[in-house]
Amino acid sequence: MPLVELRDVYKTFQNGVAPVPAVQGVSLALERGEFAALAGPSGSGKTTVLNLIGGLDRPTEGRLFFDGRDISELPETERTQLRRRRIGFIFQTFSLIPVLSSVENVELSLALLGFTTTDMRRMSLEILEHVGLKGLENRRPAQLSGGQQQRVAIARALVKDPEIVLADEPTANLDHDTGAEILDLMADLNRTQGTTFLFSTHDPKVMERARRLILLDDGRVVSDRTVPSRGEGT
Amino acid sequence: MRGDWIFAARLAFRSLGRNRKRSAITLAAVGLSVAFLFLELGFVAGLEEQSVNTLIDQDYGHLKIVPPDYDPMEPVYDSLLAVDDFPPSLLDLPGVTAAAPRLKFPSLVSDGLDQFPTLGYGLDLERDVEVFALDQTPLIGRFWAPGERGIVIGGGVAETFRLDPDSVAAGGVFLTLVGRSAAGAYGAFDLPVLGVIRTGYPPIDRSGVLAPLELAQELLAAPGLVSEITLRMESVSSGDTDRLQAAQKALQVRLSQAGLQAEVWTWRELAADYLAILNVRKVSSNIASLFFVLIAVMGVANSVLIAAFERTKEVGMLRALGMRSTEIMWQFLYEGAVLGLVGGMIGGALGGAAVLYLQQVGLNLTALYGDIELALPIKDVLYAHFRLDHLLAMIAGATLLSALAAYFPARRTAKLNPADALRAK
Ligand SMILES: Nc1ncnc2c1ncn2[C@@H]1O[C@H](COP(=O)(O)OP(=O)(O)O)[C@@H](O)[C@H]1O
Ligand SMILES: [Mg+2]
Repeated sequence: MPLVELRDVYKTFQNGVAPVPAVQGVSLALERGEFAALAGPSGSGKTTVLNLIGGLDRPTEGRLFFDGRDISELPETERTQLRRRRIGFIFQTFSLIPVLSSVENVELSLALLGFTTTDMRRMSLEILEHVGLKGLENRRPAQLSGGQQQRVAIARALVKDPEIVLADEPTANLDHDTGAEILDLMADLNRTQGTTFLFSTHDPKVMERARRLILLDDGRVVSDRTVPSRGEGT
Repeated sequence: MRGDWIFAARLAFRSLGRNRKRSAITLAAVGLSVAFLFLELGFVAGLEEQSVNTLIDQDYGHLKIVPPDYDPMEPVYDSLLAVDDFPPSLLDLPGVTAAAPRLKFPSLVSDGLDQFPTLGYGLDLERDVEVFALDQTPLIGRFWAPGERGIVIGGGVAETFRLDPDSVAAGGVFLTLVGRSAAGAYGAFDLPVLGVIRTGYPPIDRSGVLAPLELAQELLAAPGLVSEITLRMESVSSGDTDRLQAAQKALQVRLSQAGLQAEVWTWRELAADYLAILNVRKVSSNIASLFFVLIAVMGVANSVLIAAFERTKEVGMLRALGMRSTEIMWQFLYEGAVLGLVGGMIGGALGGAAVLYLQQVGLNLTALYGDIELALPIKDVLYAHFRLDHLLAMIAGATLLSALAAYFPARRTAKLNPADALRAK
């Protein structure tokens, strides 16, 4: 059973003057452990697809399954629960809370799951070390570089050991080398922890790193192929 | 310990630092309103306490025995009590520490050229000071010695006759005191003015003439008669209504059993009209203060509104992390509450310090208002009264009101669709 499956999913936004068909009949399945890129030009529907998979939005039509369960009609509270426990998010703009330190930003994920303060702290420090931020635990986001901030965001997504991490253009705000490092880190986590990754990008250099490349255009999947192994995959 | 509550509280406090200037302005608004409100309440409480004390210490005592049909607002003093009907054994109730008779009578005072209506107070000094506070009251000159014939006049009476208190004290000033007996006969005595008194109690200060009880009885041809017997009780605080009423009832029963035609009033009943006026004052000054509170509440609401708007994207991120919309709403309510709590504590510290200072030093009303006579039973200096319960209630109130003020902006943001929130700038 795939971890995530979209069956002929449509999403049309109605809040403007004219309806905007953002996603038009997307079908795809993601297996556990995949490291997949959702590629396509700006406006092609990448963010919308990620939001639908993450339960942040509902499809206008079609079915969406998470771990075999139809989540397209799930009430808000249950989708929140799903995100809380099983899905990690990473954003282009890092989205850290400016008044919290690195470790506190990571702890936020765990606080929602009802961990004790000591467990929260221990687990967060561990994962921060894992993403290469040892020694920077008490810095606030403003005292970190973009790459470091994104590492905190990755730690925040990973600390609760989610089944899938949805990353919306995680390298778009980073220079090339830093972006490559972030991708290395994600690939490494995918390999060592088995976490499924689905990340969007419009950067050909980033697409190259994925082991599966789903190409979107105008809300449709125009190509979906597995990339031949290039060293970092298994 | 579960981390979520601690986390939420920590985040709420830290959020004060997101926009320091805005937080500072909001805290100042809350703090100032709490400080002003506390100061205002402190003065009203001080005014109430001081004036109640003055009423009790100068005229009402705790319990008063008066003839039937006594009207405290317009006393006429035409029926009197025989003081021998009320021996100490009759008045000896639990909690009662002293009793003193007074003979109040409408009188005239004349210096030979002018005459003015006054209220005479015939006093048995020895017993009077056990109940009233005349001995602790500023007096220029002196009271009469036992057996001496003379009067002590209120400061207002001295002014009316343009008498300089110091020359009065030096002796040699005489006034004629005129009274009328029950039968309608006038009596007049030329008496030396021994002293000038300032009690803070307007009826005595403006038109009071104090005289030895026997002298007053002689003037009115009313030997052995008094207009009232006042009782003092031990440690009756102004809130202690139950004990007061119990004593009142017990005494009333005793008087009835002794077949005496007399009524027992508590100071509260005697002061009912005054207390009502004071309450109106309280309400109106509280309403004025609500204006401050309103500004502070609007400040908090505005602050949270802007914060919630600015942080729409962050709210989207929190929703993506799995925060429930109610948790988001609570987070903003906590932030509002923190503004109220911190602002309240700042204001409480400021207002508390000011009230404590004014409790020690007081506010000199004559300095503020000049010689205008205040129709308040207080002396020249008004002391504020520090009440910890008020202070704590106000900090709690500020916290609660601020959380409430945050409700609508918080709800609006919390209810946003997560995907829409994430798309915000
Ligand atoms: N909430 C919305 N309201 C209206 N139009 C939207 C909304 N969200 C996305 N769109 C539109 O849907 C299309 C796809 O958007 P998006 O999924 O953000 O694309 P991408 O992430 O690939 O840039 C775009 O044309 C965008 O303007
Ligand atoms: Mg996008």
